[in-house]
Amino acid sequence: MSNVNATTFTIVIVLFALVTLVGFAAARWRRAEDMLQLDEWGLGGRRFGTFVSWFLIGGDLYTAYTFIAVPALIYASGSIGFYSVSYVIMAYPIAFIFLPRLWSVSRVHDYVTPADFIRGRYGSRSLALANAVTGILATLPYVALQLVGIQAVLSVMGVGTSSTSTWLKDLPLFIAFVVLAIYTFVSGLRAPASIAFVKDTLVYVFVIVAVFYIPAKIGGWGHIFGVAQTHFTSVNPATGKPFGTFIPTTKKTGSTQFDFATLALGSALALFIYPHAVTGTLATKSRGTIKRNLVLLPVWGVLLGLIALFGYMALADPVTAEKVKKSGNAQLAVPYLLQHMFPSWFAGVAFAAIIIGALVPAAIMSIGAANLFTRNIFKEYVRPSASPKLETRVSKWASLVVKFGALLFALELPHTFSINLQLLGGIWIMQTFPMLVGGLFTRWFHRWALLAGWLAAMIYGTLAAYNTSSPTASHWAASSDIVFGVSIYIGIAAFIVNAAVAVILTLVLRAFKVAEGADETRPYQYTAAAKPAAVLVPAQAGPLPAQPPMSRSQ
Amino acid sequence: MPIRPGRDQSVDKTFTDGTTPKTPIATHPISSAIIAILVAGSILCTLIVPIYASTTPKIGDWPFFYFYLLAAIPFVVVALCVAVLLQRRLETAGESAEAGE
Repeated sequence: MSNVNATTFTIVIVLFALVTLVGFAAARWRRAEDMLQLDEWGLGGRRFGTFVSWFLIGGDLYTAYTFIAVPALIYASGSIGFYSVSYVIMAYPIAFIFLPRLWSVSRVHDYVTPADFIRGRYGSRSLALANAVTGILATLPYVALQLVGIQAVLSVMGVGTSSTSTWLKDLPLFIAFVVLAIYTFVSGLRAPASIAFVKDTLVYVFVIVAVFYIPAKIGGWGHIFGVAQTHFTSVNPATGKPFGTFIPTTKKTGSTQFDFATLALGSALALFIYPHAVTGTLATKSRGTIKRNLVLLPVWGVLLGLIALFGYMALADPVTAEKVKKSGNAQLAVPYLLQHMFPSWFAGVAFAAIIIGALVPAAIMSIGAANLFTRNIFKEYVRPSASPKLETRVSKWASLVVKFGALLFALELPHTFSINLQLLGGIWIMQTFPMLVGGLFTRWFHRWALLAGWLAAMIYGTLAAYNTSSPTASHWAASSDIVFGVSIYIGIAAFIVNAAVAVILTLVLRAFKVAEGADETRPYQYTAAAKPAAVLVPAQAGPLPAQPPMSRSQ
Repeated sequence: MPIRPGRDQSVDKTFTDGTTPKTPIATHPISSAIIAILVAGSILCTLIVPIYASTTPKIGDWPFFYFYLLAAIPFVVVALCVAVLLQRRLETAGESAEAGE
């Protein structure tokens, strides 16, 4: 703790204490009479309007990963990191197609998780289990990534002990995490929803100041792009290849246009089927709220694009570039840049924004994963008679387990390119797309065919990601693989395997007339604006309600 | 008895007074087509990378590739906004569910 800047450190501590207070106070915010329903703890009572949801979902989707790993990728490899901007642009029109349907059917049937919907749609416990397990597996590295983001900031601040033990060295991270775990446990989804206001305000302030201040200080945008272009087209003596690409190429392999497009498309398809994104979606109060948010959320993309360019700014600032080179860790590019460019008090604000920016999504993700565990594993397989009160209690504890699982993930796995960790999760979660989004539009797919397609794609995707190598890493080196001589994002390749297996097996299973399972949903429920009055009272799944007259949306 | 998907859903399309409404898409084919084009355009404008994968023309100091990606965002916001407003029109006119989904 020798070279800690006192001003920076104090600002970070004060802001962290502020959000901790907000997190605990959130338990009283719009408090329901019956806090023991899982919707109350796990979905904030399903009452968030457009304004709150914009901060909540925005805070949920634009994470510490955004601030650290995206610029790190751009710093290290150039244009490919900009796939993230293309991806957030595509994610909303794609979600616009299916998300309102998911909201409506979930509201009618009181579904809390995406797996609840799959259970009801296909009458298949195993397919729901496949979805729940994938969701939990994909969320763990995502939460871990938030921790890696905090770690990067803390290490640049000089916080941390010099002990060689991993656990002692990361003690501050551990403390931040315990605090987060406790207020999530107490306040549920209301905690991240209220902290999101503080976080998003800090983020907007620091990014807007940074994009005007830093380029002016280091020689303007022309200089920044010029340095990047020169750097990425020059040859790296260690590998004999260029350092990266400044613009996606038209070649067959490497950072190609096709690779860029599949990476962006795959991530965009995956974004709103992540458990935490579904949690944020189902917490909104109306179908209109969801639509209005999908219109307004792309505004965050501008912020992401500007943050991504911090990677080039770090490259163009010789002092920052030298420090990053010395540390050998591209993740430190943004923290070093902010530390060098800003006066220490403002660096404190920026660091606090990143740290808090990690806590909000980590909380929502752990809640989403915990809900999956409770509803689709615990209640389904362990205690079918579980009361809502017990469900809530199990979910609270499960959220703690998820957080500490992620902590293990973050401390034990190699940190370089933590973006690839999240991309592995992205590869997995994408394989639930056919069962979830397919199911929102059609019951044509056979449940066992979907299960087989999912399994084949999970195995293929994991192996393909494992087998990627680079000059510096023998495994897990990249998110893209070369298939038939062309670089393609593994998630998309696995998705093609998935869809092909699902289609072929559906035809086979239908030919043999294998039972398809009961479907408890009805077509009109996918466009319902609200829950029909007939089923307002009992929260548990019971027999189907009598057919109500066709509801008029909104 | 399991419900055979995709079959016997006529009941779902019937009002309480027994009439069957025209689908919103059939009532407003042009609005529905515009919604589809707006949503598809929002996806394709950055999915088709060759459109913008070049350094030139430069916009001020910004290479085209980087400028295009940021400049696409306001267009997507406007396109989705128009799509939502058109859908609302379909809903009130078509008496039922949204089209274009």
